[in-house]
Amino acid sequence: MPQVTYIEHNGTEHRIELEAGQSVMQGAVNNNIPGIDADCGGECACATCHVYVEGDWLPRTGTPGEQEASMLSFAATAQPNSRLSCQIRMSEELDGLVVRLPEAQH
Amino acid sequence: MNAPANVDHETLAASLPLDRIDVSDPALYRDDVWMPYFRRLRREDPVHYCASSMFGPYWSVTKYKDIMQAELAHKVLSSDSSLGGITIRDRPKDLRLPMFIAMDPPRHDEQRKVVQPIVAPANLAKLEHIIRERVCRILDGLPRGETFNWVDHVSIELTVQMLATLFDFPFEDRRKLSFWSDCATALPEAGGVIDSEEKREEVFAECLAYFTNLWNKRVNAEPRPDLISMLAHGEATRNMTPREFLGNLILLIVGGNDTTRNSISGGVLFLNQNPEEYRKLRENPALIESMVPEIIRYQTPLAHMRRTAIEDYELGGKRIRAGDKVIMWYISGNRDEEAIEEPDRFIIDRKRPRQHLSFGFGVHRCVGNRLAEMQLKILWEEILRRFPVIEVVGEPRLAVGQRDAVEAEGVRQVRHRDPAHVQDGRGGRLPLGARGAGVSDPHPVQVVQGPLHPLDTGVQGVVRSGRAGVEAGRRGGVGQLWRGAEQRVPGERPLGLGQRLLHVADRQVRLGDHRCHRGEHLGEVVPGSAVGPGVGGGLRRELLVDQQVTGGDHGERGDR
Ligand code: HEM
Ligand code: FES
Repeated sequence: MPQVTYIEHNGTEHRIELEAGQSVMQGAVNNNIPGIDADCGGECACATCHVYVEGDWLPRTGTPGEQEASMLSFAATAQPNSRLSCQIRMSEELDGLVVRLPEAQH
Repeated sequence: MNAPANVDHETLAASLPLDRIDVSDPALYRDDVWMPYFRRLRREDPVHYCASSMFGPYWSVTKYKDIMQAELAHKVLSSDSSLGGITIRDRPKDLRLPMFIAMDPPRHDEQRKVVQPIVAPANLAKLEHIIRERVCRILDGLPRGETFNWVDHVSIELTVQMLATLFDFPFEDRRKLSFWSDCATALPEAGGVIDSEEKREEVFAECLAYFTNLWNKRVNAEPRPDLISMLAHGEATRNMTPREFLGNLILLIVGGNDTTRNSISGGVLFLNQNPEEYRKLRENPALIESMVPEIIRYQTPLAHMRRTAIEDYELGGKRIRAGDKVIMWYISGNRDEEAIEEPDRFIIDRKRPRQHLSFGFGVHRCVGNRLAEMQLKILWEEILRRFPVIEVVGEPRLAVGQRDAVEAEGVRQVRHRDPAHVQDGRGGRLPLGARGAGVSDPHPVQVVQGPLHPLDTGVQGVVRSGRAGVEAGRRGGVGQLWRGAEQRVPGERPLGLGQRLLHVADRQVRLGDHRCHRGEHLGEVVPGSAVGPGVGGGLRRELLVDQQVTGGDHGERGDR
């Protein structure tokens, strides 16, 4: 199964296996990784599953769609490599993905 | 309280023809009987059309998932004030205030981005410190071992202090903020906070002048992390017209005011109603984390938000037409058993407590959501540090104001027990009649001739009381009273949905010049009401203890 690494804001790393098709947000929630709130449960409607895509993974995860971009645009902590993790579906291609978590979700 | 008021709403909700169900009826919220009606709609007609109501025809969206879909459909379901904005009531065009909650993208997005940094992590951390200090001061100043008014002492005070902080508003003038907030949402009415739209505009002018002064100082200073400075320096907001500045001020004042306040009051009440949950909390204060969102779900401070379709749109199998009014009932979605387990229960350790609709979702999702949560969290942390029990000793009531179909008030009478005096952690409940403030207050009743309520045969009057007078602004000031001679058999011709029984006279009661006889029914006509000028959304619920003219007080005083 493909793996994802989540790095909390304080540096703590969590590496987990995630079935292809599941979202990066679900992986965090199912494994109780702190720092991803996911209030809307993956509907791209809350922006509390915000992550920074590490290194050169961004071309592979793709960039935000329209709704995601507008939700992200309100996040004070957004950066060019920001994504909403509920909108990143896991695939074999993304095996080894690394995402960092922002200081807070809001 | 008054048994006959317990019309069997379960039966009524189940038997009414679907097309007669009108969930915009304020009485449903005031009497806290909205649940079975929404339950029926969720089951049988989740996207429901009501052809006629006091707010005109409208669609109700009642299920969690359909509300979520509607929230995301902002391109078709508009918030724009020119179409009616975000409240169930339409406002006359010339009285509308531009504000970003009632705008669609892209303009909405540009303005929202300007104030969003108020909740950036660094700013929140700073605010946390200030809020905690203020919470401590408020709690340490509370009367001990006595009955006091929780809403005034805590809910309002804390909310207003926080608002003052967000605006960096002169602290000593902070009650102006709640006054402006009240004026912004009140329906004009004799004896109310405002008695005409002109009066409202006067107050708005005063508010604008005050803030313009602050703006002028800050626009020439370095940008700072307060809302005025942000607006004054923001690309998208620094050239706002005065009217737009005012609109956004009102949004920020009202948005963070009643909502948070209701949640502060609600929390105390829910814990009192659920002693087992209160016990869990005392044993494990870490549960505050999940309790806070649960309070906000359970309270649902804004019962609805409205959208207007700009094209035909399909939702839940129904065809909504361009121009139709669409109401997203958060209050119903938050009780949707398909989305939330045991939704009618208040459970402070839910697994996913933030899964609720109280803050909305999508591009308009509440800017202040984490801030509101933080306030509640700090408050409860500090409460638990000090008081083993805060006990609600008055009879809780829901109040419906005239300005909002459902207005909220707060837990008015609570008492916390001085730790030194607590023996078993529960303490005895004061009997209702022994309440301090409530009893000593005169509740004069005045009858004013008015048109008969269509549902009633009796005299219609207006109740004014000393305390109700104080509440004038918030509650709409006056409650209409009906008087009916004969016993109404509950269930047969239940009190109309616009009525509510207050009291069956147990002796002769004087109502102004009128005398009611023993056994006669006194009730309230729930005023034909509406929501404020497009801010803060809509039907609000608030909890009220010991506010209205209740039975005993009537009788005793009327007789003299
Ligand atoms: C428990 C407390 C609160 C509740 C339940 C609440 C609820 C809501 C809801 C439902 C909306 C969405 C409106 C829509 O979709 O049309 C909203 C928007 C908003 N709220 Fe809150 N709110 C709360 C506290 C606050 C606070 C403390 C602030 C202060 C900063 C605030 C500021 C706003 C603003 C500015 C908007 C407009 C957002 C937009 O249109 O993009 N709210 N709120
Ligand atoms: S979980 Fe809400 S946007 Fe991703």
